[in-house]
Amino acid sequence: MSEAIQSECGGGPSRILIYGRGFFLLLLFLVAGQLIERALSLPVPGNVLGMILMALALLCGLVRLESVKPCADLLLRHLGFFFVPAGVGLIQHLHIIAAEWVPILVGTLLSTVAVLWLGGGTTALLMRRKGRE
Amino acid sequence: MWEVLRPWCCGGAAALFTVGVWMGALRIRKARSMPLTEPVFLAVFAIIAALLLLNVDYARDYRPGGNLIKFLLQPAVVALAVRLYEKREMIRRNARAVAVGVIVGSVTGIVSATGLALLCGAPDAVALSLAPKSVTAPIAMGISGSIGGIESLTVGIVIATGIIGAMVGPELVRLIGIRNRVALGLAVGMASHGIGTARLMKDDEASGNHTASTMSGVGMTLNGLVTAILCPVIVQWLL
Repeated sequence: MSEAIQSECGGGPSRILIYGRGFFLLLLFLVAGQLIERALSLPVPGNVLGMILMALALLCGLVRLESVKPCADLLLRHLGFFFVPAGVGLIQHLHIIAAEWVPILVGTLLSTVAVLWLGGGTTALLMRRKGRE
Repeated sequence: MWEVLRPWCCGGAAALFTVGVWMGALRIRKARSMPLTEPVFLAVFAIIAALLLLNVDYARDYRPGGNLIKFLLQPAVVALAVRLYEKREMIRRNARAVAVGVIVGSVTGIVSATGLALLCGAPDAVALSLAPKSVTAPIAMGISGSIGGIESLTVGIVIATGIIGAMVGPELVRLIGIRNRVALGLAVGMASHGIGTARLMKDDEASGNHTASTMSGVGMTLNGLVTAILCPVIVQWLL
């Protein structure tokens, strides 16, 4: 799939084409993931299904790393920026934070410690048993 | 006439304003790099303050422009597959420990966050908003929306979780005697996603060994994946 696009661009594709091709592939897999979500009415978000499909496609060599990497790196470098507007949406829920800050604080703090200790502890234990560092 | 043009003008202005604030936040991060100068936190805080001070109607005048930016989160989640693929060798080498560790971490996160919030008397929608709190924001939003949580509340909690993990995550993991860099990185990435990973990148920069931050990126992506699959099931059983 990517080879056809590659050859179309000739020997030295310009930057816009490189990013454009990557973006096109990402959108293609996103749409595929969303279609699967709808079709099978899965509770897993379509973008995560798209990510699984993309990982599989990379593993079987259906998509080459060079075709998506420049665009993927660009998007992930600015990942924080893309969810700023979603965070600003909190403006509509400030009253919930004011009313429920105790459960939110307790849940967030203790659960973060629990994930660090149980997740990290399990991994460390399994690796020690295997005798690897 | 103005009523027709308004969404376009305000949308464009809101998007440009967000870009400007983001660039300012990046500059502050560059000047003083620490968990509390996390650009996402600074930008969200500054924009909310500006909207409140200027008395802007959020839903009418900010949201359309914000949605323009928010859309790019969708392909960005697919792009995470690239990071996973690039680290496949490191994952394969520790496959069993990573797989079990991530599943334990994911279940721990969902059950403890939702359960504690419910125990403290939170209404269901708030407790559900906490369920994906350790997952990277773009995935957490999708999960929160589909299980009946409040998307933007989840984003706020996710950012707070990231800042906590970046501030004390590595210290807390070492406190229980874990010295193994693979386990440390994986734990911090699982618990505090991209913001915790950024802290480990800085630590690794100093030591020259990039194992911890690499595994942190893996932990973040895999926890997002596993939680997206497990969360709807576990939450149904908790409520």
